[in-house]
Amino acid sequence: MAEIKKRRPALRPTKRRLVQLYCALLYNANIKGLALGRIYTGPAKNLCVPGLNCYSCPGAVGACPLGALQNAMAASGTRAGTYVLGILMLYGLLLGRTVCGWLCPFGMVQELLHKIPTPKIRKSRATRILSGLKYLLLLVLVLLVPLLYGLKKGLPLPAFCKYICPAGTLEGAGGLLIHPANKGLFSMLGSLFARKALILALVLVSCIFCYRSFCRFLCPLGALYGLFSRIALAGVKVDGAACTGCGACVRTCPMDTRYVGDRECIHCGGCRKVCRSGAISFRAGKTSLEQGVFRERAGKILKVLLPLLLTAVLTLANLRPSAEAPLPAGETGFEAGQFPEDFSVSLMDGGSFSLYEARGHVTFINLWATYCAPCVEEIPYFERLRQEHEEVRILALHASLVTEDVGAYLEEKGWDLDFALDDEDGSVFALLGGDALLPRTIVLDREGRVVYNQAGSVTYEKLEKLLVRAEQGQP
Amino acid sequence: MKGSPGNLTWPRLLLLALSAGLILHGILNGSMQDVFVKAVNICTECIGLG
Repeated sequence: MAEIKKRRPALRPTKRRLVQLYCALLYNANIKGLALGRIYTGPAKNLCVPGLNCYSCPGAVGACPLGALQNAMAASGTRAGTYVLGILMLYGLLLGRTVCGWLCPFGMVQELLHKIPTPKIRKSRATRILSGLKYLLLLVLVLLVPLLYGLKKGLPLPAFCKYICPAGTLEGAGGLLIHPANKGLFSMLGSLFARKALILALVLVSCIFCYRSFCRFLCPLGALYGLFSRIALAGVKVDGAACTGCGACVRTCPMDTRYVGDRECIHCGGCRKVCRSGAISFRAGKTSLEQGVFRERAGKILKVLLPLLLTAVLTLANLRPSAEAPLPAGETGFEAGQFPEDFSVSLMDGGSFSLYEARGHVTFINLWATYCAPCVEEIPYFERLRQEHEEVRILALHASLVTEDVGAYLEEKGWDLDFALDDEDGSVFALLGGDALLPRTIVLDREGRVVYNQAGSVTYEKLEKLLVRAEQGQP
Repeated sequence: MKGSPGNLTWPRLLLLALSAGLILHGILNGSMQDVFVKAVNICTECIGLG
């Protein structure tokens, strides 16, 4: 019994762990989305959260700063991404890498994995060299590749998200795939997913043996915040007068720090416990946060403010009316074998498209958007399909959300398809089962019955196979 | 040990003002809307689905 009592304090979560858990819940407060397998589309997504948290996770209520930065770089040719730069600079100035130590859900996952009892890899010269890799990834995959690809091809390529980000695979892809409502997504999985799943597995396994290995070696967001280490307002500070220079702080630090508060320091405060002279404390600017009065007042204020904030976010995220259209009864619907409700839309070249009038022809409906790179890449396949099968009806319907003049964009591309823009409420998207997943292809047979309705990119070969299926009337 | 920041009040204030200015500019030039549009749509390629 006495032994259990002794162990209990070790099992009790620290204040930092509670803050990390709080942030994970705050960032992913869309409980309704987790239950339905749908992402949150409310106004909170205008704001980037400070930590790494994929915005394609059904729980996420904010935007990922790293994803937003890559897309802002990609859009530099048309618009300066000053909003993302301003937000990141603000977080960097106020918090720096305190974000990594306290406010990053993926950092918490890595720390929890490291608690699994196994032999551990300690920091060394090799890990210090490896810690420079994240700066290279920031420069190449987050800044240069999206910028140059965007300028050259006019398409967004968030290279870090696409090729590396394990948080995106775990929270975004994993969060969507785990829900039965998204079982159709399994048909999309291919070599890209296999590569990213392998990276995720490697990262998670490595974290068991090596403390925060992703954070230390690969995370470009940590690299970015690290650039603010000298100027960030919050963090840990060393009282030079009290410091004996014993070096216990750096020796026991599991990160690749050279001194307390450097760009590798995540301000977890672990060094405070090993500093025998009590020279290390949390600070805001030059003020120590561990003076009695301040600590007491701040504690009281936070105990009231934090639950209020969490309650407000949970309420706003989950009590919003659902934007999903209810599935029509009977044979009407957008699933394979059902008949979508009739609709008509005005085409961008002045004509119109009516689903009713398209009956008697195999019909392809492509749901797309100019800001969706896979959408733009597959439009030429639909063009080729139209050229080679003139009897087929094809409608390319742009999402109601627009970021640029779609008419001017089409003129520049010179595509020759029936293009239309969904109305502000996204009502045609809703009729066809369209959602936040783009692109989506819907194929109807000559009777107007759905034979295929799935999100994800298609190839020309796939379109031909779908045409054969539709001609044979095989749902 | 090394690590305590020196007197950085003015650089901090200047950079805070700059970041506030950038955010405001971003709201006006539509780059906040770009963030929103990306965040409410799922790019299947970006999360590794294909």
